[in-house]
Amino acid sequence: MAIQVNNIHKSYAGTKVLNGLSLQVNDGELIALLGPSGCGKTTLLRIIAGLEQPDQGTVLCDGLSTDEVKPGDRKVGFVFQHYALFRHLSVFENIAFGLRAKPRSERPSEEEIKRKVASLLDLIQLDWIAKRLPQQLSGGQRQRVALARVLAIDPKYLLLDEPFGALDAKVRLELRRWLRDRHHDLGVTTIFVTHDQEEALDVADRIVLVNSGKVEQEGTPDQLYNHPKTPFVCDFLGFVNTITIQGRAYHVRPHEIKLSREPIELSIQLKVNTIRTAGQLVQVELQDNESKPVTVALPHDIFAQVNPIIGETLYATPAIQRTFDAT
Amino acid sequence: MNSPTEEPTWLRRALIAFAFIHVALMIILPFASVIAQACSDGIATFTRTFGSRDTIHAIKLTLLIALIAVPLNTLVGIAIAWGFTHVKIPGKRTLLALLDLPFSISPVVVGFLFILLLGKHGLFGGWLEARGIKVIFAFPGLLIATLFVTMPYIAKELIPLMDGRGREEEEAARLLGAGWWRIFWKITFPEIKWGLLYGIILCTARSMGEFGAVAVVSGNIRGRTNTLPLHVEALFQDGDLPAASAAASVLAILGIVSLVARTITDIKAKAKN
Repeated sequence: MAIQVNNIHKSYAGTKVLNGLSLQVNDGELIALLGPSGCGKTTLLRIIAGLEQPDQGTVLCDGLSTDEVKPGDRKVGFVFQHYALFRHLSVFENIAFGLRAKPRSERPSEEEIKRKVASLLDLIQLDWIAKRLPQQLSGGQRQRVALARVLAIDPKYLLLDEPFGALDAKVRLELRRWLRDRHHDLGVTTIFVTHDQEEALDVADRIVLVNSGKVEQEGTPDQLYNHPKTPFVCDFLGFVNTITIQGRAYHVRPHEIKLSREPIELSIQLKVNTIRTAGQLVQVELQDNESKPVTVALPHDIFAQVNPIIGETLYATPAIQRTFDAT
Repeated sequence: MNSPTEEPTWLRRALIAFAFIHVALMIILPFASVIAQACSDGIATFTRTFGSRDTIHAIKLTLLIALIAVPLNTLVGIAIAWGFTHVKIPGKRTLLALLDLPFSISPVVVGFLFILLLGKHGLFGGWLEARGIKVIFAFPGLLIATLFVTMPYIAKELIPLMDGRGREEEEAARLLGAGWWRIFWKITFPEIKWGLLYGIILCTARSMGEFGAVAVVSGNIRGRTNTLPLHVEALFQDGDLPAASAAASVLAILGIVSLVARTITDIKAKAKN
């Protein structure tokens, strides 16, 4: 077990941020800490890094308590959302910082530092900007430099706090794929904080969904997406319709609803409002008799078979009978 | 053509003219008259004034006080600003307001407070006298009064800078294994250096120019406890106006030098950001 978090409590000015949260991260694993803003995931990451002290509970890194080892000695690579690059130092010096900060006995020679920084610049594909200052770089370039800077100290753990949160969509996608591949090569135990479910599903081996300072559910992306244990998990990991049939609430995603003209067992009558055929799936917007909207996504061939017409009433039935009601 | 948010041309011109006249009357005119008065008897006044032992002593004393007070307050100011921005202190706002105290109370009152504390009949006066330490009407008193009056300048300048955007960089440096000295020197210092210089200049200017607090604790012993501003006053009281003006022109020139230095650091600091 690389990182073990036991029953962490933390409050700020009387507000509980973490409420008895526990978590295990295995060696070489990439987990995503996913949750809405203010759920305590960044605080948890800062506690694991040793930047904050928990009010209660312990954090063990390779069996050693964070109280015993100073943050600087723990070989934690922490990447901040807003990069936190040293703005008066060049890219080269930013990356070399951790090497130069080593105690004299472990400090590499100038030659080794040059070689190491060069190889890291190569890794982040930015060897041509070594002499620039951070403010001369784009957001995506800055974050890659921030990653290279922490990789320079050969971290045992990589902690990423919404690393791509400040970047535009295309760069985000590129960088997270790049990160996933680098993680595959390097095998560093990594915790990735994000509020973007798509990012978590795309990157992580395992997702830990945090809500109100506690773990709501953890598991593989597949487990969380297809087998959520609570309505919160279901709702957080993608769009979901709540349709009530015979007094029970069914939580179904747009592609988990079947439409037909004939009444079927367990179905509800819905009126077709709008149809959008541009896209991988056809989006059909319907509403029940209380004007509550329901979104259904159909493959084009199924859509052609059913052939809904705007204004008509159809029968909808959940393909997956997902309910969270106490039975 | 005026844009809708702009004042009419005549009003703008009138305001600018008013500002210029005000500055001319209140600053340039008195300043020029001091220099003119000092030069009225030609170079003779200067040689007479700066040849006098008392004037030379006053200048030396003023420089010595600044030489001790400014470095000491620089260290104290950095420490205060660092503490305020890096340590969780209950009642931070109240403490921050207290830091303004030397600005807000009259320097004369400050001097008087030190007399009450350290003077012959003061709270610690007996204790000091028993050990043969003379504070009031002596160099230590001048130094303490100057230290108190100039204390907030550097801290005040640094607190907003240290509180700002550099905090995550310090955390990043810490996690990369840097010790506190390396963090301060490599990360914090480059961030605050222009503000620090600005604060040092203000602190120096005030410590050389301080009159009120120093006047009370000095006892005005010529050639012993008179700093340059006090010496100017003493020469004036003697009715030796040219000599007073000559001595004052030194202070005035110091003031201009610090003003120029302030402006340059300000421009440099802004260019940096």
